[in-house]
Amino acid sequence: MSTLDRERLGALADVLVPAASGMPSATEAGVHRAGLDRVLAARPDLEPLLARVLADAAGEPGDVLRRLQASDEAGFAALTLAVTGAYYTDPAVRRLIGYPGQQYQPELVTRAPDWDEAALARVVARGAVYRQTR
Amino acid sequence: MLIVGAGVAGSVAALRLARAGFGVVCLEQGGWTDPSEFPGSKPEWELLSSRRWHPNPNVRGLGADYPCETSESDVNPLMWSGVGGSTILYSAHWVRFLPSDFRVRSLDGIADDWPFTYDDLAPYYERVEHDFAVSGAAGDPAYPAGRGPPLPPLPIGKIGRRAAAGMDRLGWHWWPGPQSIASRAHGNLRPCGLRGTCLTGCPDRAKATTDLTHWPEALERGARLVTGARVNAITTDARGRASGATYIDRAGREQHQAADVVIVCANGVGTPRLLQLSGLANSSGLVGKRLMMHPYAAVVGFYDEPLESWLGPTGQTIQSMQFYETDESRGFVRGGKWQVMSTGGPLGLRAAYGGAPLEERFGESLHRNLREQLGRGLEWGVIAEDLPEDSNYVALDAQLTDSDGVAAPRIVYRNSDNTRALLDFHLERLHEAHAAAGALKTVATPLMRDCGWHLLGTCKMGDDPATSVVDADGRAHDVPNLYIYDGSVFPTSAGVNPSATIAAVSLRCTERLIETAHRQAVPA
Repeated sequence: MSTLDRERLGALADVLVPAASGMPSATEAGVHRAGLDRVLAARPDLEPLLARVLADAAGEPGDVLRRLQASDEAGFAALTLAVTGAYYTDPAVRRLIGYPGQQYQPELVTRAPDWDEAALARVVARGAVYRQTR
Repeated sequence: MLIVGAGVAGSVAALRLARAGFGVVCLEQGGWTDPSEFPGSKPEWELLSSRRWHPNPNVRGLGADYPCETSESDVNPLMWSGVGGSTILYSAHWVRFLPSDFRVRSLDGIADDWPFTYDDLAPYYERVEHDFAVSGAAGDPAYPAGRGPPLPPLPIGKIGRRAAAGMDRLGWHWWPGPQSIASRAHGNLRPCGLRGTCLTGCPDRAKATTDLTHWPEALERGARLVTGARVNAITTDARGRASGATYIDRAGREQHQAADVVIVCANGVGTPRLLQLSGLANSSGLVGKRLMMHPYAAVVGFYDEPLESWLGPTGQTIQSMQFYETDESRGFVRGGKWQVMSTGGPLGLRAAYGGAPLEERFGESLHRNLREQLGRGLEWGVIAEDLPEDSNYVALDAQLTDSDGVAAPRIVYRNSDNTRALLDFHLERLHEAHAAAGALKTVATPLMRDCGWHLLGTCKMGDDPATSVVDADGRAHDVPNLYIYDGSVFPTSAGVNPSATIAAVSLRCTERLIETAHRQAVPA
């Protein structure tokens, strides 16, 4: 992605993900730099779609996005997936939203049975819920 | 013995035959998948899951996949081509059919009865539950009394407890979901760590996939597994008996594997496709007909507390059979199983906003929605039983081919009036379940297009050669040494996940084959 493409992506990304509610904007989280590199390493198939979208992305970013959403479903989906994908894989953003990622935690399995045994006993007490066929 | 396909049915058959001392060759179009390749342990998991590890072969487009023509289908067929078959990506619900599922014609006056009963299959269910490391709680009143799963249950987590509390208020059935995921170390499987990425492959080797649970022993016992072998025809001798299969290897060469017996286990799309390519076993005209794929509808609810709803197991924490059996006052027959699923990470949540105006999806709304919903959602879904109809079918497409030039399957599949009424009823009840649990907001998906995991019914099993493709042992009525053991043979689909029944049917059929091998017809 060229410098111009990254600048255009950053401008669009900051409309999609602005600084608000204690969260950084997309460009503050590096979406158009390391974030984009991360996304394209995982999803190289997005690059031609993004290139097409960004080649036609001159103008006021909000207008560009509304036009894109109305006229180019695949391009809009690729752009928003790239932006949110870059944003939510940023470690600092993940800390802020309280999402630890998908982790292997075998110690949690020993919590079972972790349900309300009295409630399950009531299920049993209500009796069979299947049809007899004999 | 030649087996086509190394998924659930083929793996069960291969291991049982190898244990009995038979020579086994299995041809599998895909290859092995190293669990370290699975994306669940990577930060980009959600990005990777929407392409390389997507369950729809048309999205994935890998070399081992064959494309499916789906423009005339309400639902996309989902599968994995490789050792382990679709267990590689399945969510590992391990649920028996109910007794009524084997008696649909007798009980509901529609579709067909199976040529055997729940009681006939129960001993095989019990044995495959051990092989597939099934974890769960005994005593579910949705089933006849039995021993229960061999491994202790997995936790139901905060989402399961919240949903169960709602069901308790309503007086509706719920039960901790049984799954083929090891809660303790079992055979080649490690204990589950609730990573929650079951649907993109288990990097922790805790989910029962037959590359781990069946093939190591089968290979040790002498079975031969040929990967990258795309079978394009079952061959026959002058008397019409199966003599083996031709396949295309990864160098593009056509090879032939001779065999005394051919067992096709290529799933409810791949099996009829292969029979149609071979021009075999279709005197009934039913090969490819009666396709059933289990429409899936869901309602996601968001709650007022953190629920850690990215934790596994992904497939289900609790399930319900409250509305499983027929009640004709509802205006339709049959029913479906419900399950509570986790809702994943931040990108998965975005899917709920498809089509909404920009301002509702992004900008400050993005942050607000995420704060209100990430980790606070749970999905109540229903697997709807669809009934067999000749108008839903698999055929060879006239234009589309796989990467070896073999005709691809064309899927024609529409939901019936009964199915639509069933889904509408269940969606209303799912909303009620969320309301009883205190959901702040719900978002419904009336029919998920990418839901065709369960490929069933396209080579019906039955006693009458005029109205079925194979007999109760999986033997083709037309070809005495050709067998089918996968979900194609199901006369009806039930309303639960079919892996347990595919495995149990395959084991039953395999043991019938072993018992009768001394009088088995073989090619000249």
